[in-house]
Amino acid sequence: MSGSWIRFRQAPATLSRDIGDEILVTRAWSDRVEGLPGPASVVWRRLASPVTLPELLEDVSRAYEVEASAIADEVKTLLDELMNKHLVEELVSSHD
Amino acid sequence: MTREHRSTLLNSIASVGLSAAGGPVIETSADEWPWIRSRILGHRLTGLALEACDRGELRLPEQNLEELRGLQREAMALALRLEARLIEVTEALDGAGVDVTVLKGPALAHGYYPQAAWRPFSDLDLMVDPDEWGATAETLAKIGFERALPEPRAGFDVNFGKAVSWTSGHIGIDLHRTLAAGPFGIWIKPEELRARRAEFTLGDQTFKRFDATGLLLHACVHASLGWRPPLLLPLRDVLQIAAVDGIDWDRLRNWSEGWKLNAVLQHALTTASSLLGAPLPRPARELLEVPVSTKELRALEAYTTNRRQRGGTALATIQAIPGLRQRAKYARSLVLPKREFLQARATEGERASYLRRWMTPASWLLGRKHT
Repeated sequence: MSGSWIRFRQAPATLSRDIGDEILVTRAWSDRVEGLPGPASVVWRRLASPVTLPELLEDVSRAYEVEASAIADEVKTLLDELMNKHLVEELVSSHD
Repeated sequence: MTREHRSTLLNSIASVGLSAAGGPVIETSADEWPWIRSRILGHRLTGLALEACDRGELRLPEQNLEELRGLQREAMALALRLEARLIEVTEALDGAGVDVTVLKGPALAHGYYPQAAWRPFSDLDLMVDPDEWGATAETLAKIGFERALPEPRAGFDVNFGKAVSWTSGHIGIDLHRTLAAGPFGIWIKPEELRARRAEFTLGDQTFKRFDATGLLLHACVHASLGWRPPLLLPLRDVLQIAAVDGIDWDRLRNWSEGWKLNAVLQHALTTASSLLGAPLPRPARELLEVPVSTKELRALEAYTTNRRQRGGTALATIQAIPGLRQRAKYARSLVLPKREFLQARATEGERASYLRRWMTPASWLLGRKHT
């Protein structure tokens, strides 16, 4: 999953609501709504346009004033979960 | 809490963000919360109330603020589930060749409010052409929706009905033929509204809604005729839409005059402006100067006065229906609906009874003599 040549973004069929410190997300044909509180909401907002993992880590670490390495595992886990739920998709660059 | 304080509080919440200067700061206490909570829910103001708190215009004790956040979370989770289902429903209807117009909730939340979270909704309102009514019903049934009540008599839905409710689990759809029950529903020409539509997007899907002019007309109709007294969120809709560019005020005036809606529009615009304390744009103020006929005023009173509880809307509808044959057909549907309809309307354990139904119009007439 890691590697700067892969970019991530919100899947096109997702629907969301910003309710302050949390973003609620679902997708078409689903009855399940996911809550993305705190840092997860920062990740979601950043995924509105395609972003690489290093870029994402940099943005979140800047927002929370922590080292990127300190949050890397959590952000990767979150991305995996969001991809498993078809809320986020990978875009693989054709010319690396 | 005095009556005046209560209405100031609710009106301030409903108007948050309308004025650049901001509203007054309202302090509340924990013992006021049960009343505030019930009204915020009743008027669907969770999103606007939370915004008022964020702006410092509404101060709630911390525990009440937490509860409000929870209520807004629930409201938005429902809105998202409805939107997810909207995508499924419109895809199925598209597949059946049905042309769908999305009304109210999602059609206003996206693009007309600064944030979609300010505009909750608890069901979906869709409009289709009466010629596509049968195909729509068939498709909704195929994807798991059930009609809440049977048709009173064959042909009632497409000739006289405003909307029919369909449900699937916790998801409700009001399928509209027109925008209002009663005489105004007969005078409005939905096909002209549908001829002027715009698109909006949810996820990766495109939907159709009325253009800004049609949306403003519908918002006024809903705010003025939907509830007595008017609910605050529909009044906010009126001001929210009236403020956007792109309203064709001449067309709005033509529609209003042609469909006998001058009194309705004036009632909605003045009520919204006075209760929410926001000025109307100049072209909207000019609409308030248009003369209103006695016929329109009488029709409006059937919704906005206690005539509404005494069959005012049904009686006004009979007067508005063109042609004796159609009037008789409508009256027969009211007085002699199908047994199946009566049974569905009867309370649990109660036998369907024509006599009980006939006593209702009798009580309207008796009630009239006493007022």
